[in-house]
Amino acid sequence: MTAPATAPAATDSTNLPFLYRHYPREELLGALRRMHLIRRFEEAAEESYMRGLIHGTMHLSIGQEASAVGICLPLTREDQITSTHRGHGHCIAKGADVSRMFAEFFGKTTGYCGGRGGSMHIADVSTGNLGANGIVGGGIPIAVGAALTAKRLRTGKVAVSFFGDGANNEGAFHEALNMASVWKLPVVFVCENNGYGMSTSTERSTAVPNIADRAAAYAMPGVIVDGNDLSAVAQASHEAVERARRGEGPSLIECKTYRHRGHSKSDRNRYRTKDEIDDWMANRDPIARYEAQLSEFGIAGAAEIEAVRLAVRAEIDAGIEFAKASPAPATADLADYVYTEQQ
Amino acid sequence: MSTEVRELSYSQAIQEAMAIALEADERVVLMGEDIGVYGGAFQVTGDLIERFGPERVMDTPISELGGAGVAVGAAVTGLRPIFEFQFSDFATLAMEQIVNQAAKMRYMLGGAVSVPVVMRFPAGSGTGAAAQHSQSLEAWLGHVPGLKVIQPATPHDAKGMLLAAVADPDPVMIFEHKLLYKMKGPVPEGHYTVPIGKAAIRRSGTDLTIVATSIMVHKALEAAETLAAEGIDVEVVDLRSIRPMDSATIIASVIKTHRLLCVYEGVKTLGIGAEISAMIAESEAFDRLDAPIVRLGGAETPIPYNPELEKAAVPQVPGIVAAARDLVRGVR
Amino acid sequence: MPVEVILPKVDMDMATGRISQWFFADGAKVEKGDVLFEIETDKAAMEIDAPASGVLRDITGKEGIDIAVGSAVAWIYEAGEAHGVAAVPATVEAVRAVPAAPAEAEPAAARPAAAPAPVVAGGTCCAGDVRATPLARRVAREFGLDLASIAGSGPHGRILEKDVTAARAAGPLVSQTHVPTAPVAAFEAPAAASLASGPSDDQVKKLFAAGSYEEIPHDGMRKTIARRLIEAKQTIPHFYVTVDCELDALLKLRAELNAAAPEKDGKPAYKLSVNDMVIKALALALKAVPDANVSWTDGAMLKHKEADGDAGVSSEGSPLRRGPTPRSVTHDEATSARATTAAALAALLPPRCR
Repeated sequence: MTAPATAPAATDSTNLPFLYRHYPREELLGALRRMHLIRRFEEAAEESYMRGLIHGTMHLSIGQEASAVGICLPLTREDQITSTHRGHGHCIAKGADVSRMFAEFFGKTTGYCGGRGGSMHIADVSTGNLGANGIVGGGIPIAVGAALTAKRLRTGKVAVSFFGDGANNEGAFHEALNMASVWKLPVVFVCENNGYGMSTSTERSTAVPNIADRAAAYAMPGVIVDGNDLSAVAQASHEAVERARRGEGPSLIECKTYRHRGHSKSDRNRYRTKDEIDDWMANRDPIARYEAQLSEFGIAGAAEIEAVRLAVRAEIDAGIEFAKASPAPATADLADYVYTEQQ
Repeated sequence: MSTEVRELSYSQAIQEAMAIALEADERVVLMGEDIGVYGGAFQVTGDLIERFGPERVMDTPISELGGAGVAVGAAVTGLRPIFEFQFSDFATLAMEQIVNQAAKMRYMLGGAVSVPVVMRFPAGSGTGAAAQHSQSLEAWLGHVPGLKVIQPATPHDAKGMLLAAVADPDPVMIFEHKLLYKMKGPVPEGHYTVPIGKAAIRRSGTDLTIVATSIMVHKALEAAETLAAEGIDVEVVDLRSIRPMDSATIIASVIKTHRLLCVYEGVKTLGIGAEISAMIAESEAFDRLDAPIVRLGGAETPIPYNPELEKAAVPQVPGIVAAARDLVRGVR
Repeated sequence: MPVEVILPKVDMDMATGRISQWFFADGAKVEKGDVLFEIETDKAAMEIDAPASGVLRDITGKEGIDIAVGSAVAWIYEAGEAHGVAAVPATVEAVRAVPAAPAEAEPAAARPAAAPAPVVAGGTCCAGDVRATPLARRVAREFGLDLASIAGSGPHGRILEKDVTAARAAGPLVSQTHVPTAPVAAFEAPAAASLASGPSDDQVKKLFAAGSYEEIPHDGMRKTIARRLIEAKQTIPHFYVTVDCELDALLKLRAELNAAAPEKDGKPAYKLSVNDMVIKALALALKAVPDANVSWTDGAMLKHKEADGDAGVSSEGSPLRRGPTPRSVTHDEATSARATTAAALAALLPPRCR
C-alpha cells in the first residue's frame, strides 16, 4: 500500500483518531476490506477443514484482524515481515492473494509454497512476507537478519517480526531483541498478546505483567496498545516504522488482543471460560468496532460496508474454487526445491 | 597468467578466502564471536576487521541461536553471511535455526527463496579442551537434507571450498579440524574454487581403500607409508564432502582394491563410516569386496581431558596400520 | 432450505468420527449454538453446536458408529418448512472400520542350514553355507568353481578370492588336500533338498544297495553326542586343519601303471587319473578302518560292507559334467567313472559321524 498521506477526513479532523487523520477514505475502506477478508478467509478455511478438505491442522486468527491490518498499514510492499504459526491474517494484511492461500492449504502446486508448506509455513515473498513459522520464536531472529540486510545494503526497508505472547519466553526472542538493539537495526517487534500460549496464560508463564515491559531490558521503546482498535495499532506501528526508517533502531509493540477460536483445530478450550470467549466476541470484536467508527465518522455507511462484505464473500468463494480445481504436485517431484538448481 | 603457489597454513588459507570474498562482493559479511579485534578464537579472521571494518566483520554477542537466525534472515534477503561458531559443539545451541530454518526454508516455501549462508565450525579433539569443546558433529548435520556439509583437509581445499561455499546459493556447513589450523600446504594465489561434492584421491593404491575425513586423511597417509614398507599398497581417499557425498569415487576405488576401511573422528556408531559402509554394500562394489568393511571411528565416549585418554578416544596411526594390515592379509 | 448438520473434523488425521450422544431428538426445536451432539475422540468428548435455529429432523447419524467426516448427520428445518418434500439424504452409511489384518505370524525362520561338512572330496553340497567373500563368490561363479570344494584361508575358513584363484590354477581335479574325515558313497542327485534338515533315514538307506550294509542302532549316548555335535557345528565357529601330502610316490606309481597299460586299437586300454589313485587310497583306508566306513541316520549307524569312493569333480566350464562312459578296466576305475557320473548333483551330503 502507499505511504500514508495526510488526508482530510470527512468531518472536523482535529479530534479524530490517528487513522482518520492520516489515511484517505479509500485506504480506510481498503483496511476494512482486508479485515473482512481475513475473517471470512479464516471461517472458510475452518469450514473446509471440518469437511476434511485440509490436511493437518490450522491456527486461526479470528479476532486478531485489527492487529494484523493495523501493523501493516504503514508498510510498503517491499518492507518485510516474518510471522507465526497463526499467520494467515498477516499474510492477507501484507497483500497476499487468498486463492493462492487456499491452494496452498489444499496442498496444490498453485499454492504459495507449491503445496510443500501448508498453513504453518504460508508465505508470499512478492509482498515481503518471508513466511509463517512452525517454530515459536523461529521468525524473530530472521526478521532481525532482514533488517541487517536493509541496513547493510541501504535499501530503506523495515522488517516487522510478528510473534505471540508465548514466544516472548523463548531464548531466540531475547537474543534477537538484544542484537537488534545493539546494532540499531530497522526492525519492529510486534507481540500479539492474546492471553494464552496454547493453553498457558501469560499470567502463569511470563514473569512481567506486560510483554512490553521487556523492551526496557533491550533499550528500546515498548508500547502497549489495544490490539482490537485498528487506529491505535496503526498509530503505534507508524511511529515504530518511522523510527526504524530514521535509523534509530528497533521498537517493541504489544497488541493486547484475543483469539476467538482455540489454539489449533484440536483445542477443546478447557483453559478458558465460555464467558470470557463470549465477552470478547460480543463486545470487543475489532471488525465491529471499526465498522462502528467508520459509520460514526461518516466514512462509510451500512450499504457500503455490506458491499465490502459481499465482495469479500465472492473473492473467498472464487478462491476456494480455484484451489479445488488446481493440480496436486506429482510424487516424482518430491525432491524439487531441496536445493537450488544450478546451471 | 600464471598463479603463484605458496605455503600457507590452513587458517591463513581460510582467511585469504574470506578476504577475497569480502573484497569481491559487498554482500559478504562475517559474523561470529570475537572475530573482530580479537581476531577469532583460532586467529582465523586475524586482521580482517582492519581491512574491512566492523560493518563487514561483525562481533556478535554470545547468542548462537539468535546469531545463526540473523545470518539466515540476512541470507534470505540478499546478504552472503559467513557465520563462525567458536566451537562446533555450539552448533547445538543453534540447531533450531540451522535445521528447521536454513535447511528447510527453500523447500517449505516451494522454491520462493534460497538461503546462501555459510557457517564455519572449528571441530575435533586433541587440544585438551575436553568433552564440550572437542566434538565432531558433522554426521548430525550431514543427516539433514537441505544442508551441504564439507570437511576440507588441506589448506588448498580450505580456501577453495570456502570460496565455493560462498558462491553456493544453499546453506553450507564447514567443519574445520582445530589441529589442522597450523598445518601448512601449497595454496595458489587469487580466486579459485574446489567443488563441493567431490572426493580426492590422495594416494593411489591397489590393496585397500581407506576413506578418511579431515585430520584422519593425514593419519591415513602416514599409515600408508608404514604399510608400503610391508608391501601393502593403500589407496587413500579424502572424502571432503559429507553431503553431498561422492559415492562414485569411493565405489570405483573399492572395485579396484576390493577392501574398504573408513577412518573418521566422529563417534563410530551412526557416523559417517556407517553411511559409507552401507552405501558400498548397496552398490556395484559389493561383490568385489574380498574382506569385511571396517570402520575406525571415535570411541563411544565423550572426549576425555587426560591427554592419553584423549588420544585413545579417536583413531590414531598405529590403529589404522593394524586394521589395514589385518584386512589385506585376510586375517580379519 | 434446510440447513445441513455435518459431522465436522475436529482433530488432525481424523477421517471418521463417532457420535457418542445426541442431546435433541427428531422434531425438537433448537437454537443456533445449542449443543446438538457430542463426538467421541481420542482426547475428550467434543460438543458440536447447532449451525442454525429451527426444527431438528432426519437424524441419520446414529450414535456409536463410525461416520465419515463432512457427512450430513441431521437437518435443521425452519419453523413451518415443509419436510419430506426435499430429497432426504440416504441414511449415512456406517463406515466399516477396516479390520486390522491379523498379524501374520512370521513363518518360523528356516532352521539355519546345517553347517557344511568339512570340505572333502564329497560333492557340491552346502554351497550356501560356505563362508566366502563376495568377490570370491563372484570369481568362483565366473569360472564355474564349486565353493564347497575350495579351502578357505581366511578367518573362520572364509574363502578369499586368492583361494579361488589358486583352486583354479591347480586344475580341474582335486583342489584341496584335506585329510578326509569320513568315507562317502556315490549317490545320485536327489531333488533339490532343503538345507534346513538332513534327509530322513529312508532317504539315506535308499542311497545304498539293499543288503550292502548292516544296521547298528545308536544307543542313547551316541544320539546325544550327535545332537550336540550338530548344534555345535551350527552355532560355534569352526576352522579346519589342512595337511599337505607329498604325492611323489603315488604319482610315480600312477605313471608306472599307465605305462604298463596294454594297447587296444593303438590306444592305451586305460589311463588312470590322480583322482582314481586317491580314491583307491581312500578305499584302502576305509577297509583298514571299518568304523570310518559308515553313514549316519537318526536311528542307526549304517556300517558299510564295501568300501566305495566317489569324487566331486570340479572342472572349468561346468560343475555338472557327466563322466566318461565306464570302461571295464580296473574295479576302482569303474568306481571312479561311476563317481564322476554321479558328480551331477546338488544334494545334501548326509552328515557323517567320526
